[in-house]
This record gives sequence, C-alpha cells and structure tokens, in this order.
Amino acid sequence: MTQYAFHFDSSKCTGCKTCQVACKETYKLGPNNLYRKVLNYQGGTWKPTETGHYVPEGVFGYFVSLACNHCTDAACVANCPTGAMQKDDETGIVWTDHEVCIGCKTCQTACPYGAPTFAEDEGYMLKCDMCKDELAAKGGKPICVTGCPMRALDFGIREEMVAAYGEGDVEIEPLPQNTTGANLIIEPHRNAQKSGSGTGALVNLEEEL
Amino acid sequence: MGTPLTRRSFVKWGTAAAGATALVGFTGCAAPEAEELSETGDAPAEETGTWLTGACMNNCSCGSSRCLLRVYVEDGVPLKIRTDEEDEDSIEVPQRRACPRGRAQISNMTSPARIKYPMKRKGWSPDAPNGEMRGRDEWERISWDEALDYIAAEMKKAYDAYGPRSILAAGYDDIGDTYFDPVICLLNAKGGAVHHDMGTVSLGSWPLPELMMTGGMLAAPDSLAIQDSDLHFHFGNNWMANKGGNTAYQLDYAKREGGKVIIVEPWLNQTAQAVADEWVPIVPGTDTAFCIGMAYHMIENNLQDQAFLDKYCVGFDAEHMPEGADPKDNFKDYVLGTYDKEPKTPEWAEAICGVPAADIRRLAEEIAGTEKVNFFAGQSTTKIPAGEMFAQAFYTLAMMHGGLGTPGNYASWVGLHEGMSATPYCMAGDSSNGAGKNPVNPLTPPLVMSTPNWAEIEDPASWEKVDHSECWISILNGEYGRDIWPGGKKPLDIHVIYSGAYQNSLNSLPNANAAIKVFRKMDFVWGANPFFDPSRQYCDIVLPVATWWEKGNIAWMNNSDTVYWADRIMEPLFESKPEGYIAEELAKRLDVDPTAANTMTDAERTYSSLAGAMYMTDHDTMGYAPLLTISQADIDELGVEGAPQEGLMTVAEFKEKGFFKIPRQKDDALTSVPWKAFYADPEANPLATSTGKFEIYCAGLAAYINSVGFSTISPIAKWQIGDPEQGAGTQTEQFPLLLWTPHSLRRAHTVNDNVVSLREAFPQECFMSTVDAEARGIKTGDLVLMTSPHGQVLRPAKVLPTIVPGAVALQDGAWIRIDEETGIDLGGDPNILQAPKSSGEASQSWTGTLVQVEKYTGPLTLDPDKNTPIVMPVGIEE
Repeated sequence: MTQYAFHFDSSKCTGCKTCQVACKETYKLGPNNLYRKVLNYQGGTWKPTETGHYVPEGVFGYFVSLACNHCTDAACVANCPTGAMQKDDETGIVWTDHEVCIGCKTCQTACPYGAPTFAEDEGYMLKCDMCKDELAAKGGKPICVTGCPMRALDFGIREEMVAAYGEGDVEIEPLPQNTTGANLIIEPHRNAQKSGSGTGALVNLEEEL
Repeated sequence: MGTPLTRRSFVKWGTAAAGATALVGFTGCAAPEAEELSETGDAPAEETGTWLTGACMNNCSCGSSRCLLRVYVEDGVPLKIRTDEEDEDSIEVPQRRACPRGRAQISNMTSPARIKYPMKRKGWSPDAPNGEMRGRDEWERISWDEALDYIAAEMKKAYDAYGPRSILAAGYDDIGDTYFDPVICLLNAKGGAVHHDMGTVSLGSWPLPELMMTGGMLAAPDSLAIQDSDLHFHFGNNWMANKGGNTAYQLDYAKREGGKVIIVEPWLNQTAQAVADEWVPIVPGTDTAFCIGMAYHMIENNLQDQAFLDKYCVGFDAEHMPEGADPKDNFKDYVLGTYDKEPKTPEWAEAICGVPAADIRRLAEEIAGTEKVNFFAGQSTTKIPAGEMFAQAFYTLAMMHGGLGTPGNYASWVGLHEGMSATPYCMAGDSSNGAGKNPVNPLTPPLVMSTPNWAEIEDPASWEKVDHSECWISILNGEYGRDIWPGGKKPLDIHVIYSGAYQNSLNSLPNANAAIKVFRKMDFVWGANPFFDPSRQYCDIVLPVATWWEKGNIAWMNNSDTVYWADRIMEPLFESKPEGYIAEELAKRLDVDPTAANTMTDAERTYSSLAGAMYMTDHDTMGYAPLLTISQADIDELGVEGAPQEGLMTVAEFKEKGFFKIPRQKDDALTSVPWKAFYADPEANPLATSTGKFEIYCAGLAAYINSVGFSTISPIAKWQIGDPEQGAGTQTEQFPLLLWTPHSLRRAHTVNDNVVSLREAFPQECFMSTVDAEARGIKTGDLVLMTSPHGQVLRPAKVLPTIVPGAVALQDGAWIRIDEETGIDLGGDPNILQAPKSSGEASQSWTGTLVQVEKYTGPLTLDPDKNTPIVMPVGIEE
C-alpha cells in the first residue's frame, strides 16, 4: 500500500490560515466545521525592570497547521462502530462513508488530533480526505498545499516526503505524543517544544478551533 | 467525499454558512427545491462550467500585492476558487497565490450582506428627514427611478441652497484605478464637494520626510535585491497581514540566503514568529527614542560611517551643516546633549522605549558591524503624534550606517519595490480616466503631496479639503484647520453626505461615535455600495452597486510585478448596477451631460486598460514597452477608436492566462538599488533635495510641517511627546494602556468583515499581554470592555505572552455594531476608541491612543463572530 502524507514546515508558517480558509471555502463547510486548522502555541514570561518596563524571558510563538494525519493506525477507524470511517487500501487516505456514518462522534473522541468534525445539518462526520477526488481527477496536490503563500506545506508519498525533507518531528506542542502512526511530517520551528513539555499554551480562542 | 460542488449545494451552503437567509439573487436561476437540497451524494461532480479570472481588488496592502483568483462558474454561479497553481513556482517568478481573503471571495461577493435593491429608510421623507433614526430605522424597497429622483432632488436642494461646500463626498476626490467612482466625477462637474482626504491614512508621516530628506518617493529594494543584505533590521513588520502576497515569502527566502532578521515591534506578530531571528519588544510609538539611543552608542564609540556622512549627507555634525543653519543645531550635538545638557544615552532611551540599554548598545554594534543592512519600517511606525520624527530618526540611522546606494544597503518604508512605487515593473492602462476628460474637483487646493501648498494658494477661501482624522468633530464644530493657516480656521457647514467611492468612512476614520452624530445631523445621507456595511446602515437611501466580479472586462494592477485581467464572473446580483449607471442617471436629473460624468464607455475602458498596459525594460533608464499585441480585429470587436500595437502577448493570450507576471532574474536590468547613481557620483547626480545631499538636517521639512500646524518638529530627528493626551509618556491612571491597531487577515480594512470563514479564522479580539491581563484578572476568552475618552467596545480577550506589557491591540476594520442601550460597540471597531487627532502632514496619530481594559461584568453577551448574524436591513423581504 502506498501511504500519502502531509509535510509541514513550521519554521515557515506565518499563521495566515490560507490553508484553512481555502479548504473550508472549497468544501463549503459550515460555520463550526474545519478540515484543517492552524494552531498557535506560545510561551514565556516577563520580568519588571527598574525603569518601569518589562523584559521578556524565553518568550516564543509558532504555528502548527493541522488537518487529519491519515494515521497508519487510525484511532477513528479502529473505534468506528459502523465501519463508516475507513482507510483506503491504495493510498492510506482515511475517509468517511457518509451513507454509513451515524454521526455518533466516537471517532472525534478517539482521534488524538480531534480531526473529525460533526456536520450538524447532515448528521454525519466530516474530515479531510486529502482532496482525494481532486487528486483522482487531476493529479496534483491538495488545495491547502498548493495554496500556501509561504510554501510551508507539501504532500506526497510518505517515503518520498521523508526522502525530501527528513523524518521531522511530529511530537511537538501543542500536538500529543504520536500513538497512531500520524502521517504528518513536521519540520519543527526553532522554538518548538516537545509534546508534553508544557512550557507554553495554545492561544487560539475556542471559536477558532 | 465532502459535498459535491453544484449550484444547488452552493445555494444551500449560503444558507448554512451565513447564518442568514439563502441567497437567491442569481438571475435566471430558480430557487432550489427542497428535495434538491437534500442531495448529498458522494460522486465527484463533473465539471461542465468554465474557469474564469476573477479580480481580487481588495485594498489589502496599498499596492504590495494582488493575487490570482481562478473562479469556476457554472450556470452563471461562481462555485470554486483556485489560485496560481499551475505555473512554475520560483523565487524569481513566484506564483501569485491568494491569501485567505482572496480564497473567500465567493462568500464575500455572494454574502447576505449584499444590498439587494434600492432602499429608503421608512422614517425618512424629503420634508422630515428624521435623522436621529439613522442606523436604527427600518427600510423599504423602492425602485431605481424613485431612488434616483429622491437623490437628485436632495442634491439639487443642497447645491441651490448652500452650494457644493455643503456636500461631503465621503471618499477621495481623485479616486481612480480599481476604486474609480464616476459619481465623484459628477459631483466635480457640479462644482465639486468637500472630501475628507487631506493628508495620509495608509502612508503615515513618511512621504514628506522621504521627499525632502532623500529627494524621492517610495524608494525601495526589489524582492530579489534584498537577498544581498546581511541583516534585515525592521521596525514594525507584519508583512503577511499588511502586505500579503509573496512579501513574507520573499523575506523568508532572503533570510534563508543568509540575512539575519531583527524585528522591532510591540508584539511578536504572526510574520515575526516565522521569519524573525530576533524580536525586540518595544513600547508602541517610541522607536524614535530607541534609534537615538543607538545613535548615541555609535557616536560615543565612533561606529558611524563618517566618510559616508561627510560625503553624502548634511546635518550630522557641526562641520557639515547646510548653508544658513545654526551649526549648533546638528544631530550629533543633540544626541550628545552638548547644548541641551541631556545626553541621549541608551539609558535615556530605555526609560522611554523599554528596550534595555544593554540591548540598545548590542544592536547598535550589530548594525554598525554589519556591512549590508536592509533597514525597513512599517507605515504605522509614524502614525504617532509628530510622527515625522521617527521618519527622520530612521533615515538618520540608515545614513549613519552608510552604504545607501549600494547593493544590500537599503532604507525604505515601502519594504519592496511595489505598486505604490511610481515605477512599477508592469502596469495596466488607465481604465478610469484614459480619455483624460474626468472633471476635477474645483475645490481642491494646490498640494504638497496631500496637504495644501500654501505658497501657491492665492485666496484662502478658494479651497476645501478636510483632514481625515479630525473630520467628524470638525463638522460638528462647524470649522476645521488651525489658526495659523492663511485665513485661519475654515468654516464648515455640511448638509448632505454621499457615502460611496469605495469608502466606509463612518467605520474607518477616528472617533466613529462622532461620525454617527454627524450622519444623524445631516439633512440627507445617501450611499452606494455592494454591501450593507456600517456607513450604508446610517444612510437615508442606499443604492446596490455591482462588484468587480459583476463588472470586470478590464486589465488592472496594483502591485509592481503583475498585470491582471478581470473577467466578468457573473451578472449583477439582485438589482445592483455599476457606478457608471448611477452617475449617468443622476447627471440627467441634475442637468449635467451624462458623458461629462461618465467620460468613457465600458468598451473604451476595456481598451484603454489593455492598450496602455506596459512593462519595464530597464530600471535605471525607466524604459517601458507596450505589454500587449492588439490587432485591428481586437479593436473592431470592442468597437472603439484605436491603433494596432505590438507587445509581448496577444489580448487573447492575456485573457486566457488571466495575468502577466514580469520575468525576473537576480541582478537583472530591473534591479532596484535606490540612490545608486548618487552614490556613484554625488556631484554629477545630486539628489532632488535642497542641498543635493541626504538631509539629516532638513530645514524645509520642519518649516513646512510646522506650517500645517498639527504638530511641530525640528529639522533633525528629536524625540518628543507629540501630544499631551496621546502616545507613550502620556498614560494616566484612568487610561494606562496604549492602543495600537494592526491589520487583520480577516479583512482588507473593512472589506470582507461579512465573511464567516474569515470571521472564524480571525475573531475580532482584544490582544493583551499576560502581565496586564493577570493584573486585571482577565483570561483568554473573557469579555473585556475597552474604554477610551471617545467610546467603548466589548470584545473577547486574547491573552498573549508575545505582546509588550502596557500595550493592547485591536485590529482595524471591524464593522461597528452599536448596542443602542449602552452605546457600546459590540463589533469592536477601534475607531470607536480612536482620538480625532491629526499630526504633521495631516497624518493619523492613532498608535498610542490611551485606553483602559477591564473584565466585563455587565449583562451584554457576545456570540462567536462566526455565529453572529450579519446585520441585515430590517423591513426588506428576502
């Protein structure tokens, strides 16, 4: 089986959210649904000075653009009670059969990355499918990748991504430890904090996520 | 997989995403049946429609970037957007990839916020305007003829009773290019109107210092030339949000080529998080003191490039002062405190700007020790009281470093050679005034850049032009200007407002609560716009205007390196019509020849934009050549007068491709290294300054700025508190925080604020530091009340460790939504808080408005922006 993967260079990401918005607009997602989102992780403190100002100590911030990671051991697929959540044999793409999905949200809870999202009106789950119809029809790469103004995203066969960019590190805050074989290769930002280190915090408002 | 992209599902999505009623404005398309809406099959949709090029003319960046939108249209309905993805992508000729605002243009153009029909406020009649109800009243649909008759009658009444000076045309008086509004031409033909366009908005206090200290305008390195710099020392750089397009990518590339990036900013903004090797946090508006502190360290240790200063500059020291100047007034002695007994040491600077003295020394040494430095400062760094002082300090610092005129050494507030520059690499022809027949506003005075040229004004009563910042309070007070103006302050008696010309000035100018009072005080207010935005909400009659997508058929540009074609994407939605129609119909009713208002036909505009398209062949000689090959058949097809021409591509090729991108290579003939000729031979190629040299001491600048009367500066860079009630150093117990107002990628100023996907991506937040939030018991997501002497807004807080304590930010352009009970703005427009204070060259001085922020404990609540319904005209049927 071929396994497709995303590559994300966190050192290039400016948090412009073109990936998120281009995807949402293309797939006409509802107000509370996203296939891809951009997380902002920040940390550090400030120390008062004698002149009445403050100086930063270890202040940093960086972005992580996150969609579904189309995991090798996808928890959503393993936990889906109906078989709606499936992993494609040929591409490794994880997708949802909307005819079968009952919208129980088990996958959302099971996914360490919170990727599946519930469509209120339709009553089923939605998630990133790596633009698989688009790829089948035209080849090329997913919309988030081709739209990135910083050229921070890439897409391809996992081995080829690793060959091009190296193994990277997907275990950086605010992402959890990799227990599902995430097919996301991250080039960490110079200030990236290891998953679980707790040195900073996700600063997005809830309504952004 | 996902939802198939059909017209039916699109209409359905309009319902879901907008939180309002379905959009059914497409002519020839019946409203979808219920059973069709349930269609959610998983088969990929066949593409039976057409890919066209849709203009993205958002004023997102004053000319830094415009991007390609390819729009898929089926049955006249736009369904999908893609960007520049198929061309080769290189740093020399990068793809013109659209930002999130571009990607959301279908949602914008087809938003429920579109004005559907001509409308009249129910409580308004010609005899009883009932102005207090503006912004509160219900609306009723009227016909185009009724609306035009009402407007013409009211305009005529005002012209007859009070003359053109009683009419405020709330926009620029020379609006052109993509923002062209022929209604302004009609007003000009009728004797003109008053415009609130004196001075600068976007440009801050940069134009006159650049002009008079360096002898030019908008000089900047190009996107490839910055790769020659070893250090990019930037004040206020958030290019991803402020310039967009490829600018942040190009800087990131230059960094990866070995140039270190240092960004001096009140916050570690989104661009800086990616590209900055070092962030220097600074109190907003204090960059002048920071620069002077660095200058002290350089002088103390003789680190400045004295040979450069001696040869190319005047005013640095007593030995190099221009003729007529007191030698004691030189910059060096000011910095050392020779005469005022106040040495401007790094410690002196730290007390003002918050940057530790040790860091000031270290950074000064790093600048002095680096051969090639690319100095840049964002426009807002001078949007402070007496903001010219920072422009002076910035150029002085760069001159002390030296090397200006050689590759890698730059000093610009533009950042990259771009469309705002007078010498773009390629350009479209003039579609707004190609015939050169547009009437001009007879009330416009002779200008120095954008403020009155006193020397050329013979009669002080001959002109009108109100400054942006103080306009609303001036109208309420019945006068504007300063006593020192020739003739003194000018009377102002406005009775009618035309709110059009692509402006949303009730929302966009400081002191918006005063704007609301002005709108309510008028005899008559009418508006024309595609969207029911705040300025139009406070009108008596509004007209629905067709968007760029519904007009199209022109070549256009706005950045330096691309010319775009705009297809017509769809027919005008609902009853909307282009401004040209409005201008002509009003002209007929006001006894003006319609062709005097709308001076070109649509076909002539198309032809002019194509035939006048040019590309640069050589930067040093400013050589240009025609871009397009136009055949007699092309001309005949348009039915216009014209002559065939030869260019790089045919009109058909240009339209098919959708754009022309200037081919570039590093060090090619288009390379922009400002002041190159002057550096090579200053005697043979003097600058266009009064001395022919760089003017660290610039008497003409100070004399002119001081004659405008809004603030006072010296001929050299000096730190000052430019206003006792505004900016760093003036905080009070009641208002202890400094507000500044960065751009948001959610909007281009106020445009796009109606788009759900953008509202979700970028909520309108009060950004505050962890230090200030903790002191107030505020956590991220808490509702906070922001209060200034001028108003209050309610917003969720976003508490960040990446903002300098003592400063809060609220992003510009959010649509005003006043709670009528409390007067609090729930939309979060910073102009509700901003003070009406013009500065220097009538620039805005809003960085550093004094505010307080408190945790909100009252009864008001806010839904997330993405779930908050768009304001719709009450009373209008869907």
